[in-house]
Amino acid sequence: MDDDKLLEIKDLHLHFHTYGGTVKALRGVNLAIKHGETLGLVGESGCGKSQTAMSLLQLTPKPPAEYPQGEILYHRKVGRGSERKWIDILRLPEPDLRRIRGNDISMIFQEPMTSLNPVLPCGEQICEVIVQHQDVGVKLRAWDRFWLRRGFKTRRYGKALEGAAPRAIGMLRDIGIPDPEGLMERYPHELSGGMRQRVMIAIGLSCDPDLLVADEPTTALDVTIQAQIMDLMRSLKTRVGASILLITHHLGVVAEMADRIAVMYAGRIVEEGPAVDVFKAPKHPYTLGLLNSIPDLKGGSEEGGADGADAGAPAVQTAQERSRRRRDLPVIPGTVPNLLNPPAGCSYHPRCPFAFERCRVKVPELQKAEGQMVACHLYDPDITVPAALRNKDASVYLRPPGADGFNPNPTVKESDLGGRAEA
Amino acid sequence: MSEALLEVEDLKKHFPIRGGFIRRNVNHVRAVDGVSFDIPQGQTLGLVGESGCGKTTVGRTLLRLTDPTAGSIRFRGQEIATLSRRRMRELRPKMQIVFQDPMSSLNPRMTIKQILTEPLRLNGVGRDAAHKRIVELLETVGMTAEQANRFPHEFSGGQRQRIGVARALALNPDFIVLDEPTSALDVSVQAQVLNLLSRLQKELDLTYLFISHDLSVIRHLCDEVAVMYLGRIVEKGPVEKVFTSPQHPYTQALLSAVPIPDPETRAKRIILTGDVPSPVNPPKACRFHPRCPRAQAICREIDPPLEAKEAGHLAACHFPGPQEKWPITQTREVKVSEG
Repeated sequence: MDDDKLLEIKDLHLHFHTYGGTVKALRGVNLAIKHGETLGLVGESGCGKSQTAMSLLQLTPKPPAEYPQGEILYHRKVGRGSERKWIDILRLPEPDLRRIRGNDISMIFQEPMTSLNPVLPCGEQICEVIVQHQDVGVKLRAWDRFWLRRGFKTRRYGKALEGAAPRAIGMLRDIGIPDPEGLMERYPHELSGGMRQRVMIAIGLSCDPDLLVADEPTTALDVTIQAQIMDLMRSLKTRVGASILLITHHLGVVAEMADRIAVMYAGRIVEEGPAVDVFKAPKHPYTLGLLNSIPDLKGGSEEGGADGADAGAPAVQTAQERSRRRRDLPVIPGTVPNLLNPPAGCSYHPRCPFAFERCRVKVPELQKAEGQMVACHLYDPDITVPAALRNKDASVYLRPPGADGFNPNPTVKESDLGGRAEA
Repeated sequence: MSEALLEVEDLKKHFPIRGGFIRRNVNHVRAVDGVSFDIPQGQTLGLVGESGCGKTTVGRTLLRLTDPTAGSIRFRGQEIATLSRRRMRELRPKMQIVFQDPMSSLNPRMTIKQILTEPLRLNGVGRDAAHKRIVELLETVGMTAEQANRFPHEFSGGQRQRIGVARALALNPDFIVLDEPTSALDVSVQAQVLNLLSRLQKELDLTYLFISHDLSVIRHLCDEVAVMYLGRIVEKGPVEKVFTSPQHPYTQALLSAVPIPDPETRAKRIILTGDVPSPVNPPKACRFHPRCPRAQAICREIDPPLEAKEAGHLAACHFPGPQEKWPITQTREVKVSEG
């Protein structure tokens, strides 16, 4: 096994048993995170990205959840040295999991308001984690833990919290909070969204984890605060050296943060590779569609340079620019499949403009295609792709429906398409 | 240039904070504090700003869903800020709103048909005519008539938002307030809804007020854009002008903060320090000065008026123009202070 990897998810399946049937939330996820790298996991809501993160810490209640197959291999530190051992998180007993949570792998949740305890001061919430995992000079006994589980704090536990305080304050100072001593006493509701998220980050980093799982860390925040938090996470990463699994639906955030990107669709990874490659030359039709459907902030200036279309006088350019902006956005037709009953073959085929016979039957494996890994039959060397598809430029297929009478996909269900009424 | 459909002048909305023994008004939240703009027929004005800057309140006040504290709103030349409720009711069919969260703005116990019939019946449309109109509406927004008997929970987020749009269109309005119509949606669905909105505008000659915090969406859909900060408009102008040569430092910071989906252009950021101050006690003079990288003594004393820096491009700043033009007085490091 490669030693540069910190975590490897192999063929992970996750089912939820509901009255409506079995929801196949994860259907064979393969993912690896290297030491010190930021991996961005992108996808639309319901594609399983948060469930992948929850699986890493086994936070999903079982039942209704069940892991029918797969393994999550984690290269865990053993003792104080640099020695490491591979363990399978899926098969770990609960006490061992508790030792990993917050210490080796920690998590930053999406909603800082709902994930912080409203009745405890921020300081205590940070110290709590430190007391659990680090040596703070006071040793807790079974007696203390017994009362703690029942909501009572023994004097020894109070001492332990005090012992952890300097470390917590140091952590807060590292994060750039101006008055860390004051913040320790304050309750989450007294803080703004950005500050709450900083407290979450402080909790996440307080025990020097090897892996930080950030589940939509900036989604609830405004752009200017989001920029502050992203800046903070970047600077901390270079200092702490932890790997980050960044989960988001915002492609802009991943582009800013991630070294590598994995794109998820309907419980599977469909494309994975270095950030630059995935954004510059997306391979999977879904990635392509996703990237195309973002409205462009930069406007025509860059695009115009690329296709050399608006090289005219400035006045002409603005007129062209206007008409360009007025053009419809390219859309992915249809909606995300229901995971109670996912489509056979490639789960993207009902929405894919490239779909051919094989896609409806066989699930494509992740395989190498230039810089990245792609799960798509178009890139399988052993398969003869219909010539009509192979020679077409991808962008042709992703133009908005109705533009020059082009109908992208006859297989799509009629109901969901706004642009189709035009065509 | 076409006639302005809607003219707003010095609009204010202060929400009282009650407190003390006899629940008297102790203070006000100045949610909207002197906003002026007009929207020409058939155009889209974008209203951008961070949460709590008052953009949604502006939208609601325009339709008199909340009554303005002061200021005037003229719709087709008619003053509506002081109109009686009955007269307002006659005008409502012409002014509609699409809400942010499609799940909470559609009654879960009503079928789509009932939801869409309600406004029609209330305005005296007969049963048969209403039914015909519903079929037509559903087709306009890209859905089928068979779906009319289903309930909101049976639809995806994008479809629900289409229903919200259909409801707003039911009475043939001239003006629609779109209050973050796509912020609850995924990108691929967002693109579908945005296309629908721009197609409807072209076909039905609608006028939009598009409220959003997403700058790229604003750029895609709007003709003009107004940037709000703490209840005031700090910059206003044609979309291209504001996005390519922003004058106000807040607009510049906002634009630079947007993550661009391209890993090679990790943009140089103007990172604003601190959070948005409370609108109960907004900073004196220029409201942006505590966070502004180019704040000088004058910014703490004199409130800059919103004035034209170029034709049609207005900004409220003592030191407008590109960042390079003015020396930076604060460090660019992430310094955090509670507002």
